[in-house]
Order: sequence, then structure tokens, then C-alpha cells
Amino acid sequence: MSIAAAPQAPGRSPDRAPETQTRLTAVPAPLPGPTAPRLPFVVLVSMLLVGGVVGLLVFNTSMQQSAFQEQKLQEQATTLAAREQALDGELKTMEDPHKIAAKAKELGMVVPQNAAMLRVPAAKVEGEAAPADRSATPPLHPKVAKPYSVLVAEQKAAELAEKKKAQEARAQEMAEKQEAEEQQRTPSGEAR
Amino acid sequence: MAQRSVRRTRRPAQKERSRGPVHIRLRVGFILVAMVLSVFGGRLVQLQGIDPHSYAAMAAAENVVDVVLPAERGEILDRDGEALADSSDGLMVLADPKQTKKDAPAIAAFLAKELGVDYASALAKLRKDGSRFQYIDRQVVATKATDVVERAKAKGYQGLWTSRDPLRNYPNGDVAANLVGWVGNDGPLAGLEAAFDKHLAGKDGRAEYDATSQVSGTRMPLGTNNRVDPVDGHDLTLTIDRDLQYYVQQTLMDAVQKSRAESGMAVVMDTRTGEILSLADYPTFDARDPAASPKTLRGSAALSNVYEPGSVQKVLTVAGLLDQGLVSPSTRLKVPGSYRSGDADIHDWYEHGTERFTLAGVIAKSSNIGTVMAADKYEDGQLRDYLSAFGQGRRTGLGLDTESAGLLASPESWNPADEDRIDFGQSISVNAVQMTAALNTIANGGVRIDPSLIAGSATNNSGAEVGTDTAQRTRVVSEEAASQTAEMMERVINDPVNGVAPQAAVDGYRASGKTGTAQRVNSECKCYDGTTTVSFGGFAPTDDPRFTVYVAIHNPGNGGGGGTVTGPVFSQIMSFALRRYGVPPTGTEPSKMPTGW
Repeated sequence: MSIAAAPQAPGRSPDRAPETQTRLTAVPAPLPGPTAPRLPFVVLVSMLLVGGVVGLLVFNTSMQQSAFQEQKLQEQATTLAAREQALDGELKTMEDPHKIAAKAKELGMVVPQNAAMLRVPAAKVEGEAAPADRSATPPLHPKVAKPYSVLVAEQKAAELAEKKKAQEARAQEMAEKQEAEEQQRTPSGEAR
Repeated sequence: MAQRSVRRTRRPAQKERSRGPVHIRLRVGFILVAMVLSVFGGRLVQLQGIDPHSYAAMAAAENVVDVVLPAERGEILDRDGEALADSSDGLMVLADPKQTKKDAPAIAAFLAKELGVDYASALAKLRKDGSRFQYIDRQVVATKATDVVERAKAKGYQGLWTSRDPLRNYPNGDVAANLVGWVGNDGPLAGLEAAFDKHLAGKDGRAEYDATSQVSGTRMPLGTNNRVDPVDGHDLTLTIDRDLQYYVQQTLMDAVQKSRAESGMAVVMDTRTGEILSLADYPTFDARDPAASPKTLRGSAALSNVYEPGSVQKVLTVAGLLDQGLVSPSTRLKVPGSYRSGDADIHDWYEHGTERFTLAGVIAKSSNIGTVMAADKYEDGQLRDYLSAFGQGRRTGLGLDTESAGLLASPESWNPADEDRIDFGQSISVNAVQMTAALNTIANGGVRIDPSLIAGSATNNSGAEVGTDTAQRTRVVSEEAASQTAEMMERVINDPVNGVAPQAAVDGYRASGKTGTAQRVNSECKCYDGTTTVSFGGFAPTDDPRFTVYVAIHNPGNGGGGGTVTGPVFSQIMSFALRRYGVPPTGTEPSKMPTGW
């Protein structure tokens, strides 16, 4: 309340002796005591600050770097997976029974008509083996044969075309005949 | 301040004069600042108040990459795990005509050479006016598509890029194509691919993340990262044996072509489990190129096509009679040359006077009249009950919705004259798998097993759970009746006098079978049109059957019958199957059941 007391001092307390009035003076500066040195603190804080920022930067950069790395590897994985699929597809196509049968036929192999079975533990032969001939080997066919409906349609078309041709031929023959007759008639007419 | 004081000291005379302009300058400055601030304010209101979302979205879209993570479609495998249909990453090659227009001929030539597309149509697409998106080629192997597009870029051709387009492969072409079906550019279109689409398809996932740029797509760490993993589809394992299927298809094709027939089908079933090892149709189609075949051939006729079974049906009629104890294989019958039924006469396939057959002889010689005479012993409704128990008149439940149920007259419309015809396989229609399952009942000691095409179990699109796990077993006839029927069927093949199908003999094994030659009903006139369906169904070895094989061929042009056309096919297929599965001969004596008296 020293601030409040100051203006009051001269007039409002006449009962007080002017000698007792204290003058406002500046508080003396505190004595220089044993304070902590400032520099290490500043250095520490700055280091923390700089360290944090740099660390964050490095961390971020490395994350970004690994993101690039990840993408690169991802792309590589995709390419390799596609390659694997392509090879797998090729293999499966090679396993197509049609292909195997064609290869076997090239080598002169046939499906056996009758084979015997060896039962090793029982030491016996079951069934009778017969020489393999071509009788049990179905023919190969490279593509699906023309379906019946198409064959019938083609046959009909062929028949129709033949009929038409025959008709035309007959018509032509008739025409020729007529012409010939007419020619025969004409001279005879002239003779008459 | 410093400047001003400097000015003051240097040029005090100017002070008064410049006061006016200072005020003006200030005002002008204020107005300018106010104008700029109002523009800012207006823009702020526009951004935040009027249309905040579109800008936010634009800002986000700048860096957000949103990709579909494709689910892999399940494979369709045969019983040994060999792929009948599988998937791989495919790409479509797309073009932006706006960019390709100027180099169109060169690009088209390049694409025609590299991708094998048609030059003229590619050229037209690359030049298309007003378009920025054209399909150049679809379902290209991923490595090839990327390679081609990259090489095009290297050559300086702009405006080509690729996009995901999963590839479905059918490495075996037409092998089991009738069952597997295929997936077209816009989804599954036939067969198991369509019927089990939900099972096979899986569910695509999605990833949304911040990227450094839309082009490179490098993920930004600590950015948005939402990911829903894809759920791959399930594989579908069939009971089909791919190699056997191939052999059956080829053998059937050979027989159909040699007999100059219209079409044919063949079924091989594992007697003990009801598993279908092979289901062949001819003609069929190449799943790699379905467009090359007419639409009608792109399904399984063995399931969708119903026909009158003919004499093979006699086996079922007689098995029921034996089960009821009404007859025995040695029951003696005096079979006349013609037999009155209703208002028509029944004849046999060959002219004869009165013949003395045992019941075994009736089957061996395939006598219609003998069968009808024996079946007269049935009481009303008994035959229908047996046939229904054998599975006729209802779908076999393989899981393909294209299957037809066939036709077995209802109890209300059943009449004695029809029953006489049904005895030997007329006035009833079946599909090939129904017939195989019925014959398999005899082979399996009288117990019918639901046929199955799916190993384990799977749920099809209509919600039905099917497969070997759900196959039901029901006893139809007694074990004794079944084995007697089997022996009578053996006489069809091995009786030198009355047997009608010596061509069906399987070298080294005892085999049982029955021929069928049925007139075909023309769907247009609803009448018999003079063409026939010849068939042969049977099993081996007779005394311990392992496989049931059924073959039917429609309209053989060489006038052959069940024994001559389909008998050899049965023999070849059966012989191959027995050898393939290492089934030893039983080594017992073949049946010598008397066929005449």
C-alpha cells in the first residue's frame, strides 16, 4: 500500500508529524549473489532446439527416403510378380493335355489298350498286359471342330449351290437345244 | 522519423507545401489498403462461406492417391489341383486420340506388330475425333503391356497408357470348358464361372494416401493413409480329373465324327463316392476363344439337354422288380413278336416269332416286349416310386442352374399305356448325369449317391450348398437286387448268343452294361422324327464296380445302334479309367446266367 500512502501523506493526516513522513526511494539493487552462469543454459537450450529441429529434419528426410525406397521395391515386386505369373501361365499352357498328347504322338507314343499291374508287396502280377496298338489312342485335334449346325448349314448351302448350278446348266442346255432347233428349222424354212 | 527530420532540416521550405500531398497520400494509401483487404475479405467469404468443399477437395485431390486394390479371383482346379481356370494380372492398353492423332499410322503399325491388334481398326481408334479414351487391346499380359507402352514412349509416341484389366486364363482350352465356362470382358458368362461367381470373385480393397505427386505416386510418410485390404476369392476344386476328361472328350469326338453324328456326351462317375470324374460334351468350345463357337455350344448339353433314354432304362425297371421279389433273373418269359398296350402295339427292335427268354435274356437281348411283360407285375405307382428314387424327374443338384430336370409323369397324369413305354425308356426324358447316377445306384449295391462336381462343398450364386460333403446316400433297391441286375447286365456284353453289345467288352475285366437306342422327339413338331439317340451305360468290374460310364450319341448318320456306336466308346473310356486308377481285375469267373430256355 505504499503507493496509496504516498499521495495521502501531505494534507490528509495533519495529526501526523511531518518528521515521520518517509520519502519514497528507489529500492536498492539486489546485491550481486551467486547466480548460475547464463551461457551454458543458453547453449543447452539452443542445442536442444537445433538438435530437435535437425533431428526432425533428418528423421523426416530418412522417412521420405524410405518411402522412395519402398516405392522402388514395390515396383520391383510388381514387375517380378507379373513375370512370375507370365512364366506360370506359360508352364500351365505347356501342361495342356492337348499339347502333351501332340508331343507324345510326335515321339510315336500310343495309349496302351491293356496293361498289367504289379503288386510289389504281394509279389504278383494282376491283369494281362497286351501289346499297345493305336486302337485306344484317340485322334488329336488342334482346334474345336466345326459344330454340327454349321456343318449342316454348309452342306445345305453346298447342295443348294449345286442344285442351282444344275438348274442353270439345264436351262442353258435347253436354250442351246432350242437355238439348235430353231437353226435347224430356219434352214428348212428357207428351203421351203 | 530520421528521414523526416533529415528532410526537415535539409528542405524546411518544402514542409508546408508537401503537407497536402501527405494527407492525400495517406488517404490514397488507406483506400488502397482497404480495397486490398476487402478483396481478401471477399475471397475469404467465397472460400469459407459460399463453396468451402470444392476447394478443400481440389486441394486434397492434388496429392491424394486413391487406388483400388484388386482381389484375386479364385482358381478352378481339377481333383489333383491342376488349374482349369486361373487369374493373372492383366492390363488394358488405352489411347488418347487427341495425342495420338498426329502419329496415328506409325502408332497403329507399331501396335499391330507388338500386340497383334488389327491395323485398320487401331488406326480408326487412334484418329477418333472428339474422344480422349479408346480401348486398343484388352486383357493383355501385364509384362507385355507395360513393355509395349514403354517402348512406344521411347519412340516418342505420346498418348498411350495402361490400366488394370484382370486376365482369366484357361490353359487347357476346350478341356472341361463345357463345365468351367468362361469370364468375358464384362464378367463371368457361363458354366461354373457364372454359377459360382460369388464364391470365386472375392472383394476388392481400396487404398487412399497422400503422395508426392499423382504421377509418381510415392507415398508421403505421416500423410493420410486409409487402407482396406482386398479379400481374395475362394478356389473351387472340382471332382473332374483333367487328363481323364481330355481322354473322354477325344474319344467321344472320334466316335461322334466317325458315326457322322450330331453330338454326343459322356460321363464317368466314381461308383463309391458319386464324384463325377469326367463330363464331356461334343461339340464343345475353346474357353480361350469362346466367340469362335456358336452360343448354343458354350454350355453343357449333358446337363441341359434332355432326351428319351431308351433301353438303358430297362435296367431300372428290372432292378425295381427284383427288389420287390416279383421276378428273378431266371424267370421264364414267352415273348411274342408283338404286344398290345393301350391302343397301340409294342414291337421289338428286330422281327421275331415267340422267343423263350429268361429275364436275363430279356435284358441281354434288349427286348421291349419281355420287359413290359415282366413289368406288368408292378402294382400301381410302384414303378414311378422306384424311378423317382433313382433320381429321375428331378435335378441332380450339381450346382449348375442350367441343368434340366427331365420329365417323369406326375402320379396324376400317369397311365398304364405310358407306364408300358416308360418300362423301356420312352415317354420319359432324362439328362445324361441323371442316367449315370441311376446306373451308379446299381453299381453301388443299390444305394444311390447324389452326383457331385465340387470337391468338398461350395455355395453357388443361388445359395445352394453343393459338393461331395453334402451328397446324400439313399438305398433304392436291395443289395441282392443290385448284384443280380449287374450280372444280367454282364450278359449284355458277354453272352455270345443273346448279348447285343460284345463291342463294349473291357479287356481283362468283367463289365456290365446296357445299350439304348431311342427315337428322338423333334422339338418343332413334338413328334418322333426318325432320328435316334444311341447310348450305352455300364460299370466295371461287375462284382466290385469302381466306375460308372455313360455315353450317349445323338443322331448317328451311319445308322448304328447303342452297341456298335457307343459300346466301343464305353469300352475305351472304362479301360483307360481302370488303368489310370490302377484298379486290378477281380479275377472272378464271369456270369453264365442263362438267357434262354
